[in-house]
Amino acid sequence: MAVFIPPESLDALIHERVRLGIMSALAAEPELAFTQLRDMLKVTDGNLSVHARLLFQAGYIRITKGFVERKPRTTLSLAPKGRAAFERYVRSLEDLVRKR
Amino acid sequence: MQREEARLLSDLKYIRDVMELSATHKLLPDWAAIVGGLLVLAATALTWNLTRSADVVQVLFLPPLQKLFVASVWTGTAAASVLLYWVLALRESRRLGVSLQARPTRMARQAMGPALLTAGVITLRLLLDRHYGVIPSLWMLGYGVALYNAGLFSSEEPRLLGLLFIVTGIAAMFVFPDVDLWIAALSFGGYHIAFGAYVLHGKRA
Repeated sequence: MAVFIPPESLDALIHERVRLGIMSALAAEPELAFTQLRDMLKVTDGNLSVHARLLFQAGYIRITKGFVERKPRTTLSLAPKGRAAFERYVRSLEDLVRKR
Repeated sequence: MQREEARLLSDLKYIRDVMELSATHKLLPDWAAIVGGLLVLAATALTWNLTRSADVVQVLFLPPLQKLFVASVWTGTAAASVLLYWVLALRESRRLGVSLQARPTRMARQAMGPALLTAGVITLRLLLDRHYGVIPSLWMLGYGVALYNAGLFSSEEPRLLGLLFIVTGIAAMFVFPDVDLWIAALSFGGYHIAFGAYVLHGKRA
């Protein structure tokens, strides 16, 4: 299977499909629960955790752990750095499509 | 080159789809479901007050004016619930800046159509043949399938509510055919109130 290597103008961290899904969903909503995001993207807990951690380490998203009615609840939101990176990514993607 | 272009276009489409789906979560009816459920409970109370029976067929033995009144109450309840849903959904979509014509919302609405149309056509046939007893359970089934289908394009909550309606409809049709007024109150009333409260709680959490 041929692997598509993203052009340099595209942020490789965002370009992976699950991470792109996380960033897109959080760009549309100020905050989403981990479970909501998992169901929306149709991925496993482990898969979402791995990708969310990478985005968190890059400072793109915030991960907040708390309790709602004594049950643990993890919420994710886009950090300002992540919003800027996502907007840049979408602009680059649109430019690339226009140029081809 | 063509493959790369296809991938870029697919990424753009994916971003749009995920953003729309994310926002659609916020358009699940909360107060519309709660008030709609309460209207059903009020309609049930009015019907019970006249028939003193949990069997919907007893409505047929009421004097013509009362029969018309009961029919109007249930038709009015259905119309008011649908209208309320639209008014609140429109207000919410404007507040959130999400279009009601966004693909997942539009697809969810379209997915409900065939099941509701089928239930409507069968209801007409049953009315013409004077088989009134199964109409409430038929609508639980039809509405359940419609919700389940809609849930395939939005989130899992409507899908679960749809399954609950289907199971209740089957029970009402085969196990408890003589208490369909109570089962209609439980499903169209109680389930909607519980669903609305759950969605409301989720939005505030």
